[in-house]
This record gives sequence, C-alpha cells and structure tokens, in this order.
Amino acid sequence: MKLSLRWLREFVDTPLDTAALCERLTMGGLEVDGVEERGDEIRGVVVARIAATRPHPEADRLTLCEVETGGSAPLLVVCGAANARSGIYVAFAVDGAELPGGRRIGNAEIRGVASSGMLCSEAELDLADDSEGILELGSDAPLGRDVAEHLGLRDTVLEISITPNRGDCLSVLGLAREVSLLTGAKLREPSVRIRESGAPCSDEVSVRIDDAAGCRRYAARVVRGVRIAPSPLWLRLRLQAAGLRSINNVVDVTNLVMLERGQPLHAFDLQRLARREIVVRRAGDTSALQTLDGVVRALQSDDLLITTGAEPIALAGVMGGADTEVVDDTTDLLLESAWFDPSSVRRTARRLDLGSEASYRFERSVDIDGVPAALDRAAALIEELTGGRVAPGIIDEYPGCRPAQPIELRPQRVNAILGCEIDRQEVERTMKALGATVVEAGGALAVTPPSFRTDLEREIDLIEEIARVVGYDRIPTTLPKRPLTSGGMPIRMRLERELRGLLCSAGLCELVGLAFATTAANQQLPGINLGGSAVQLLNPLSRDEAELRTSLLQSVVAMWRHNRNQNATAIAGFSFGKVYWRQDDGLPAEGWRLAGVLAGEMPLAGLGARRPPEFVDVKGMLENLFAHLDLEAAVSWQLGAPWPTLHPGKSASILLDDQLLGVAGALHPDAELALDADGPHWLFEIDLDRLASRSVTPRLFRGLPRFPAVVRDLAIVVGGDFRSADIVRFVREWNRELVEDVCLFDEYVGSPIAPGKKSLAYSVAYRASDRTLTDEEVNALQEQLAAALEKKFKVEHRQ
Amino acid sequence: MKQELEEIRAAAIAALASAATEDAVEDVRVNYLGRKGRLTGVLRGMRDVSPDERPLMGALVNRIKDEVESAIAEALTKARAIERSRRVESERIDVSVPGRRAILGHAHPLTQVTRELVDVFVGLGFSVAEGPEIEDDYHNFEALNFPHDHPARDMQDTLFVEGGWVMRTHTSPVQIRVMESEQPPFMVIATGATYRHDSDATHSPMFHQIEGFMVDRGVTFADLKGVLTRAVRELFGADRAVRLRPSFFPFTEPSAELDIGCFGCGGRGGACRLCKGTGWIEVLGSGMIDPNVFRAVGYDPEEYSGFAFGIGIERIAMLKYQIDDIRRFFANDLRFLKQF
Repeated sequence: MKLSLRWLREFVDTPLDTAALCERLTMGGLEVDGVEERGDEIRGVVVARIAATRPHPEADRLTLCEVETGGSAPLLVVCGAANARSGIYVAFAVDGAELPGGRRIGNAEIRGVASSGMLCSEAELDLADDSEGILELGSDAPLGRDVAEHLGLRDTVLEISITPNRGDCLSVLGLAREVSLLTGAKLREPSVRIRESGAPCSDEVSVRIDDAAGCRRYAARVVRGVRIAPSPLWLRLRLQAAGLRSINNVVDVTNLVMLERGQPLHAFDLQRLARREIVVRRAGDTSALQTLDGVVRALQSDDLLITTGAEPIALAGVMGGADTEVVDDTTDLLLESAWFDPSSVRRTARRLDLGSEASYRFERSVDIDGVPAALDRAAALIEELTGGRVAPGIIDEYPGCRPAQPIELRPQRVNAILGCEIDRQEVERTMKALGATVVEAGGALAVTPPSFRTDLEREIDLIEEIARVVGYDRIPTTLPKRPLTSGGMPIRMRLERELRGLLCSAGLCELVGLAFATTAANQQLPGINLGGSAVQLLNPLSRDEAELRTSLLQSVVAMWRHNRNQNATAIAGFSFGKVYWRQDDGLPAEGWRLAGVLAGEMPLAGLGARRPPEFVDVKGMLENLFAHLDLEAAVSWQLGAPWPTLHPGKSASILLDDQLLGVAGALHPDAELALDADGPHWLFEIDLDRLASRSVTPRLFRGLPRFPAVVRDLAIVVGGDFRSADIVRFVREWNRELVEDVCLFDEYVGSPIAPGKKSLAYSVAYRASDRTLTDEEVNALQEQLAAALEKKFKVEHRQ
Repeated sequence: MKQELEEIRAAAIAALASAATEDAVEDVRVNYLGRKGRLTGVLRGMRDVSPDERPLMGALVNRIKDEVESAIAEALTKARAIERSRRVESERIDVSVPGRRAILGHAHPLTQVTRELVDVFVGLGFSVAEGPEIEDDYHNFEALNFPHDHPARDMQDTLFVEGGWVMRTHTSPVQIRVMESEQPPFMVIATGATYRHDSDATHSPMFHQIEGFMVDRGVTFADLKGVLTRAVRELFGADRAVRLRPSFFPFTEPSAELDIGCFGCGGRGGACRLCKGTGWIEVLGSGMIDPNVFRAVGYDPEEYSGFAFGIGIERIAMLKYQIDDIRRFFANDLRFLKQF
C-alpha cells in the first residue's frame, strides 16, 4: 500500500519526521518497506503569467511570449504551444531549471530569437504521459512560486506492507487512524456535505438483496447530468501517487474514495440499465457476463452477481459488466457502495484470475458501517467535479445487520499471556484509543471493537492489540520457568552427521538438489526399496519436472553433469535427501537416502597424479562407512543391481543382513546416453532409513595380543569369475581361534596361468592368545587349510 | 722412557687440538693407540723394563694411556658437535612449497547453517522432530488456522500433489503432528525442506526451514522474547541488537518478526544494501500459538500456552555468506561448494 504523507496529513497531524514515523509504523506492525521522495526532480520551475504575445518573425507556429514572474522585468520566451496566449498562468522553467528525467533548461536561441527558459507542458513535468500544449495554472497561483510546491508535487510516499488481517489499513483514513493510535496525534474525521436536487433517488431505482450472506449491505445513489471529462490535475496526482491510472472524472472519483476510505465503489451508467431494479444474487443458471475489459466470463452458480432483471451487470466486488460501464457520453449514474462476502469475492476473483484493488479490499473485509459514508463522499465529489446533480436520498439495504458482540477481556489474562504487568486502566485506555467501547463486566471488561476492525473477534486479538500498541519493547525478556530437559536428535540425523564427516574426509563435496524430476529420469533411476509409482505434481513450476524424484541419484547425476559442463575434471559428491513415491494404496510415502558419485579423474592425495576412479575406490569408501558403524560383517556385495540402467557387469547390490541396503556401480552405456552422463564414473545410493534402523551392538574393548603373529602367504588358481571374498569368508570361519586375519593382496591373470583362470594371493595371519605359535604348528595349519580349500572350492595351489 | 712417554702424551694432545673432524681424531687414535701406534709401541717395550721399575713405569704408562684415551673421547665429542652444527647450518628446506594434502570434501553451506541452528536449540533443551514433506491440507493449513478462501493462504503459494495432497509450504505442520501425538510440556524443533510455487533470485521452489515451539502451562510472550533473544545472540554474537516487531501469521497471536542489527553496516543503516538502510535485518517469524491451533489438537487454550517460531535457512545462509542468488545453493557447482 502506497501512502502519500501529504494526503495523510489531511487526516492527522503528526509532529514526527518521516524517519520517526516510519519507525513507529514499523514497530506497530505496519512495516514500511520503502520511502520515495517525489517532486524532487523538478527544480527552478515557477508560476508565471504571459503578459503579452506576438508572432515569431521567422516561424508561423512559434509564439514570442513576454513572461512575468512578479519580480524583475518580463522575460521573452519562445513557445510552440497552440494555447500560449496572453493572460494565462503557466509553469515557467527558468534558465538552469531541472525537469524530470534529468533534463536541464537553459537560455537558447530559437530561429534567431533569444528565448529565456521554457514554458512547460504536463508531460514535461511528468504529470501525464502525453499532453497537448502548455500547462495552464489557475489565476490564483502566486507569481514566482515554485510550481512543484504550488501543485503539491513534493511529497513523500511510503510503501507499507499490510498483513492480510489488516484490511482496515488499506486506505489513507485507515492508516491515519493507526498513526493517531500509535502516536497519540489527533485524528480529523472527514465530514461530507452533500447537496441534493431533482427527483428522489427512489423514483429511479430500487435494490433487492437475495443473498444476505453474500451481500450484507448495499447502498446506492443516483447522480444525474454528469459530464464525463478528464480529471483535474490534483485528482490525477493523487491516483498517480498510489500507482493507479486516471480514466475519467467519474471513475477516478470512485478510485479516489476507495484509496481514501478503503471502500471500493462502482459507477453504472443508469440509462443503460435494462430495468431499474438492482438484484444481488448468486449466478445460479446465469452462465456468462462480459466484463468491462471486454472478456466474456463463464460463471459458476455460486458467483455473486449484481443484476437487473435477468441481466447480470457486474461480478460483485470483482469487476463491472461492459454493457453498463461509464462511457464518454454517460450522463446519469448509479453509484454502488456495498459489503460483499470476502470468501465469495476471493473465490471468484481467483478462479477468473481477476484480482484488483477492489477485490483485494473486499477479500480483507470492508467497514460495513462505512458503506454509506463512502457513497456520500463520492457523490459529493462527482457533483463538484462533473456538474452532476445528486438525487435526494440514499438507498441503503442492510439485511445483514448484526448487533455488535462485545468480547470479554480479562486484564489478568493479558498479563498471563504477555508476561508483563499492564494495569487495568491502561488496558481500558488502549481499547478506547483504538475506537472500542468498553463496559465493566464483573472482573472483566466487555469490549466492542469499532466496525472497521473486523480482525478483532476474540480475547487474544485484543491482547495482541494491547501488546502492539504499548510496544513489544515494553514486554520483559524472561526465560521459561520449567525443569531442565535434554534436547535430542533422531538417530537418522545423528547418523547423517557422522557419515557427512567421513564422506568429506574422503574428499567428496556435499550437494543439495531440488526434489523435482522428469518422468524420463524417474524411469532411468527408479530408486531402491520403494513400491508403487512416482508422485505427480498438479502445478509444477516447469512442465517437464512434474514428478518428485524416486532416486536421490537424479540430484547426484544432475550435479555431475553440471560440473562436467563447467569443465571440472574431478567430480566427487554426495547428498542426503528424500525420495518420494506413491504406494499401491494411493498414499504418498517418503524415505531418506544417501547417494553419491565419483567421476572424471581422481587426484591421488599428495602425488598430483590423476587416474580414473575404480570400483574399489567407491567400495572402499562405503566399507569405511560400514566399518565405522560396526556393520562390516553384516554387509555383503553381490554382482548386479536391481535396475537395468546400471551396468550388469559393473554394479553391485549391497545387502545388509541379506536385505537390499543399496547399490553401487556404473551406468549402463545406454543410460549414459539417455542421461547425458558419460566418462569414467561410479555411483552409489544407500537406503538411509534401513541403515539407521539397524540396531548396533555397542563396541567392547578387546585385549591386545601378548604373543606374536605368524604371517603366511597362500596362492591359489581359480576360475575367472570366482568371488575372491568367498575365500576370505571361508578362511575366517575355518579356524576362528587361530586365524586372526586374512586378506587378498594380489590378483593375476595371464601366463603362466591358464586362460580363463586367475591367480589370487592372500596373506593369512595366525596367532594364538596363550602362546607363541611354532613353525611346525603353522606349517601344519597351512597344509590343513590348503586341503580344506581344495575340498571346498576345488582350487589349485601355486608354489 | 719416562721422558718419551711425556713427549708422546704432549704430541698426542697437540695432534688432537688440531683434529677438528671425527676422521682426524680417529687418525690420532690410530697413530697413538692403534696396533702400530706410538703408545702401543711403548706398552710393548714394557717387557724390557726391569722388574724393579716395572710397577712404577706400569702405573705411569697406564696413566698416560688413560689421559690420551680421555683426550681422544673429548676431542671426538667436540668434533661431532662441530659436525652437527655444520650440518644444521647447511640443511635448509623450502617452507614455501605447497603442502602435500589429502583431498577434503566440504559440507554444503545449507547443512552447515542447519547444523549450527539445530545445535543452538538442542543446547537450549529442544528436541528434534520430523514430519512428512507431502502433507494434507489439514496439517499444512486448516489446523494451523488458515481457513479456506482466506487471503492468508496467499502468503504461501502452494505446490499441489495429485490425490489432494500438498507439498508442505512450511515446517509448521510438524507442530500439529507433535501436538496430536504428545502431551505438554515439550520444546521441539523441526527442520527440513519446504516448497512454494515461486522461483527467482530470492525464492526457490524448494527451500529449508527450521521450526521451533514450546508448550506448557504459563508460557508467556516474555518467554518467547527471552528464548529467541538467547538463541539469536548465540548465532549472531552476544552483543547483537535484537528487536521484535508486530506481524501476522494465522497460527500465532500475538505474532512477531525478529530483526537483528544489520551485519553489513553494524546497524547504522544509511546506504547499506544488505538492510536497505534500515539498520535491521529480519531473521525469523514467531508468536504465541493461536488458541485455534490448540483447539484443533484438543488442548485447552485456557490451560496451556506456548510459542512458535520459524527461520528460513537459505535466508540466513545468504546473509551470513553474502550469497547473491538462492539458486546457487541448488546448482551445486563445485567451485561454489568448495568455498564453504
């Protein structure tokens, strides 16, 4: 809401300067977002009178004007305007003047005649978009006075954010009331004097309200004999300051009154009404209305309409109809001022995308008591500006009149909620200051708020009002009196913190991706451990991202693609985030995932060398995570992932207690193409919920060994697709007492190993907890182990 | 012979005096105490000494030998010390060469800020709760006192999901879910992704919030001021200026926005772009939980009161790191991520 301080001061005198006023408004809940100084661009333009004119000797269209400004001798100004004539008062830009847009005016020679300065048009002063001739001022304008000052162009306009509960502040009067309340300055309630003549209003027209819930009050007046014309400058300036366009004198008056009092008005062309009975009703079977923007609007049965007979003439509170709008030859008016149901106006305006200054105010509820006063104000102004005559009497249908309901306000409750000590007198005084009537009611106060404060319905609303008016600063700052509690975090969040640290230490950067996905991406990367289908958005921001991701890898792949396009050579990233799906029963479901990528070339710590990442890089990193959680023994890796988009020979399913925990691997070459993601890479996605829900046995200290270990190598030849980990698992189980550790240290294919076979070399550490093992014992163990492996796996031994 | 011994001793000590290196000292040792050394030769000549003189001469020879040996040991220590100091003087590394580093990743700025916020509130005794991102209208709006067809809904442009669901527009539905399942007293925070139908330099369709609320008997607006002031000063500095200013949220009343002294201009305002010259920066919205919210979850508003607050994480991160565009958080450019 834009507020002209010049306009505001017509209603309230405040001694505060602009900065102090802004501070008080902001701290009173009316946040000032911006301050604009207007009229500062015009300097050195003064009121002058054309004393005499004569033709330019060299140019037919130019006039030489002798201009006097009340001071020294008249100056000669060359002017090209047709209306430049002797006796008129004009805006004279003297030598050195500044005009809007940074234009400077100086003395010039025009077709051989020296011209001192310039006579200004409205457009040159930025009072209109375009204008004919020079601006003519009234003959009461004092010569030599600064024109910007004289026309009231110097103004400060505040941009104020009005919260949805404060519809009453969407007007100059409403804000003046607030300034008065917050600063104690006296409010000047405007009074309206109206001159009436001719046949009474009720002879012309009647009003019937069929839907009192939709329209609680409808007032109307008739004005005859108006002359439609452009509005006077002061009126146009008022609208301009508020950001509204000038249409004509009648429409401008309705808008002015709306800005002044917050009550939207509508003017119908009386002569174009089919019948002289106005009916306010729901649309029912009425199917369409052409609104004044020329568009034919399809109606719904519960749209609230203004009609004459069967004809709709306006969408109540939203927009008038084209057939009855005020046009250039309109002479008689029916002026409407009404209260329409906020929800009804909002539904219709939103459905038709017809939000306007009027619907905005109706949606936030207008002051039902102010309905006739706004109408009178508009009628009086129209009479003054258009030469029209106001018909005697006002039509005021008010079927929705309700007796004011007092609200019980307990002064002790005020302090119980706010935690302060405000006495009863101050509570009462504050309520009265905002215009409420207050009556003693036992221990409490019975408060009836003024009609314009539709937001005050409950005791808590009044308590808020007290806090706001006395100022939040006056409320003390305390800490709750309650026993200590220890804060806590969900297991998943703690797990995330631990894993984030490990992944960062492993060189991966964390990424956060948007949850939106394309259908194609969801098909390529369907995710793990979710059933059903992808979740669809009804109003996505972009048409192709209308689903929610089913796999967190979509965000990871997007990050990889983005950075590859930025020519990043090493791309290592991970993310914690949610995936979403629609269960078979139709209900939406969500789950937490951890996903990541190693792509491009990995720098090797310290050596400056780069090489493509290998499967063992991603696997080793994940193994570290599992080891950190003490889950290594429960995790196993199987060739192949559950989706065809991962390479069947270069991907793994990761199982936790034999249930799918995640996947790791490279994309299938077809998927690389489809996802525009190629080059050496490894991806992984882990079901974080499953990981977090796995109970972990607490770690216990194991005594340090007191006797040395004996390490022996074991070399075997096996088939090419033999799983090396099977040997490790077997050997560990084979003698849990004496085998301390076994690990693969070499894998070899090629001569002298037969084609289709590979050689695996393990080192086995033997240790006894109660003695030093002898060579003989260890040799015997090695022989037994070799025999056991031969028997179990049919391996050959290499010497 | 006695004289010869004295000469040998003097010569050895003189030779040691000029032996500055370990090798030179070793040469002296060989010359005097080696197999063919001069003192060794004298020792061998002891056979020819008469038995009468032998005890006396033996003692003398041994004394001289001890003296020479200890002089050698001393010279050796000295020569080694000289050598060490010479080595120390000659050894120089270039400390300006770049260190050999392990490659480290970086936590995302949003999770860093979230963590900081969560830790402050957990430290104050709040517990963390979670709720779904795909919500129903009841939890996201209705129970939070957003009536249908009410302008308050304009404050939050909604992303709708098929089947009558919405992407939660704020973390506040977690308030309802916690209150439905628990009885006061409690202090809870909730954090996570939220969604609105909006996209520009300061709005992302997905963004993050942290929500907090406390419900008990006798919780007051003054307590809200106390807890939030404490939290905000932990986050932004102990002497940071803080003010609360009236505002409107459907689910709180009285409602307040909390501003802190601008960190761009130190609260002076003027031409500061960060605070647009006001000297204040808005960091969170808050208020006393509206009685209608308590009624929706079956609490008696006469018995219980409480406060709630919400913080936009992107906003805090943008202010803290002076990031110009919210979309940078989600583009995940490594050059961006590695700055944090």
